Amino acid sequence: MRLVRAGLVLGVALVLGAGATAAHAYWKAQSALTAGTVVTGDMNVAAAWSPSAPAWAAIYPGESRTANLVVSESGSTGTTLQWTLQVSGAVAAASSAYGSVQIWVGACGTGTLVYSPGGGSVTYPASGSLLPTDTVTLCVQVSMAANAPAAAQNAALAPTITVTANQKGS
Amino acid sequence: MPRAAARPRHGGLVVTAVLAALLLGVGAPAAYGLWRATTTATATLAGGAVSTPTNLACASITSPRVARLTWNAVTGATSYTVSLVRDQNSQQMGPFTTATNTIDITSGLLGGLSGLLAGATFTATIQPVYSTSAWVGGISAPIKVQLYSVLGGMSCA
Repeated sequence: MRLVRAGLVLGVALVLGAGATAAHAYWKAQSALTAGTVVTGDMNVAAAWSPSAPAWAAIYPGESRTANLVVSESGSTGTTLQWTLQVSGAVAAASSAYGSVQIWVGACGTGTLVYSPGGGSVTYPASGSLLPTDTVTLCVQVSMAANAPAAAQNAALAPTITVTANQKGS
Repeated sequence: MPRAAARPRHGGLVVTAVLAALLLGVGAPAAYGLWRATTTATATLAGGAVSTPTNLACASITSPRVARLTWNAVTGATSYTVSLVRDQNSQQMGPFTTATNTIDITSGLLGGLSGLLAGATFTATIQPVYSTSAWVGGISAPIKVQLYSVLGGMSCA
């Protein structure tokens, strides 16, 4: 019984001791610092036909139409994010059997091919990255196959160019 | 012995912790995403349609003596076929192919003139050709040319 009582006393002491430790606060001092406003930046990309949206004449089998598209990174002023460019092009699904899109950086045919139906999208530039203020001029070529079927007559090709700016990690 | 038995358990915990840390460490870069922005640009473009040559005309050229046929060019055509049918016996001559919207009908073009009498007339029609046989253009309104003389030369009828 004495042992039990001693044990209880010891137990209470330990509990109190632990509680005391928890209640014992270290000293601290704090002061609010005034700092400039910090906001998150953003990354955005813009693509605009140059000099204006193409007014393409109707296309016939074996023919192509071309136009220039200027891509720029349009994120927040002061951004330092570097980026690479990835583009793709497609015509309306109903026209995809005979219509196709090819895209070059620079001039059509002689520039750097960055998209073709067979080769897919190729990241530009192949090495390094683009700076926030850089612009890239693309040449977009839409073609109709020489063996296009009669159903291609008056059919809308409705080309769509998808432009993606990927942040280039350091 | 109890200590010896506890060690493997302790070691197992350590190994588990290390593995978890490695997994988390590997997973972290995958979860860290670089920023990306996308936009699209569209344009309007439609397939053309077949047409019929219009304004087929004939002009007599005297030196050398030929019948020059001209017509309005057809958008998208890669060439034209010119068909001649002799009015007197429905004999077909040609068809002849020209890449432009004009052709000179000569006695030489008609080949063997033997059997053709001076004054024989022909009905000419034009049809545009596209790069695919699936597209068939219309046929022009007919126009007549005639053999000027047995020795050769053509003129408009």
